[in-house]
Amino acid sequence: MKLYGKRRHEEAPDLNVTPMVDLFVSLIAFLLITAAFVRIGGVKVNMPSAKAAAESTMQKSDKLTVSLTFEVANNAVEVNGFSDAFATEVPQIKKTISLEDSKAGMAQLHAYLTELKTKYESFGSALYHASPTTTYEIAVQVLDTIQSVQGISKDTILAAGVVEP
Amino acid sequence: MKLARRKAASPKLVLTPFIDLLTTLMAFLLISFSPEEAQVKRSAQVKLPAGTLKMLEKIPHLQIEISKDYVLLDGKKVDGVVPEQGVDAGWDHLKTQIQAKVKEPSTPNTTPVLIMADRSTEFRYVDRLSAHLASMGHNSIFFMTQTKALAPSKVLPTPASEPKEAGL
Repeated sequence: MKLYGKRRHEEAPDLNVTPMVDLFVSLIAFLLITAAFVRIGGVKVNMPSAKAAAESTMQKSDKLTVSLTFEVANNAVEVNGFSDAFATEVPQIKKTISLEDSKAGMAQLHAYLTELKTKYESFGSALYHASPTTTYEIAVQVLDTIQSVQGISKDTILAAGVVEP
Repeated sequence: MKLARRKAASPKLVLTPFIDLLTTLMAFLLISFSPEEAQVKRSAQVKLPAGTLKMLEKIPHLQIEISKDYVLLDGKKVDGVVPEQGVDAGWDHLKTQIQAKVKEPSTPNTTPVLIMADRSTEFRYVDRLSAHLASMGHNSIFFMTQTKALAPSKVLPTPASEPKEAGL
């Protein structure tokens, strides 16, 4: 049977993109304003303690355990090497790196520490000291560079000033 | 002449785009929200030094911000402590406050301390603070840095043998 119905007028489908455009415009504006791309990090240091000292003096074994000292002063970092828990100096490990250009200095320090890591097998705790006039930025960046070379020190001990308990 | 009366369309508020916007915004905020960063109480004007090491796994309970003019303990200014004035002036007051904080059940005694300072702050103040903390038995200290997670070219070169730090 043939049906005779009213022919409906079919509307052309229309995609309304206005909300989507609104959305993206707002999103881009928000992203641009809040884009910080910064995360919080931390450099860990230990303070000198009797326990740490006892542990370092017990580091006696057949292989040479090297302990490094870092002294930051006058826009430079001085690296020295010791064995027998800082009792004996290792004359081969002695270098002063300029930090006038901090980026280049940090890269040089990183390269030197990497070189030391390939030469020596075992490393003990590292001793770190920064002069009072050193900026926090330089002091922390040197620490960061030291700790970015894995295995160069068991831990980093901050040689801070002495105060009354 | 009589004009034909038009039927006034009732105003309709289209909420769909607004809801779309809010949903997307919320999703973005949830993804980019850093709980660690929210736990750190620091002044807005402090510019942290850049670091390459990974994020702190646990944010220490004790947070101290130091400059030559003031000391903030967990975001609150400690009265009477002006590091620039005298070597140890007012430090006793800070020690008392730290000891009170440590006694709180939420703060374990062995807790590490997070120290933050502006890039330009002289290390003498940080050094003095560290010494005071050590004298109180806090032997583990973190110096806070900021890591530019999306700038790999600025990260110091690491040898191929070393595993890359997360979040670089």
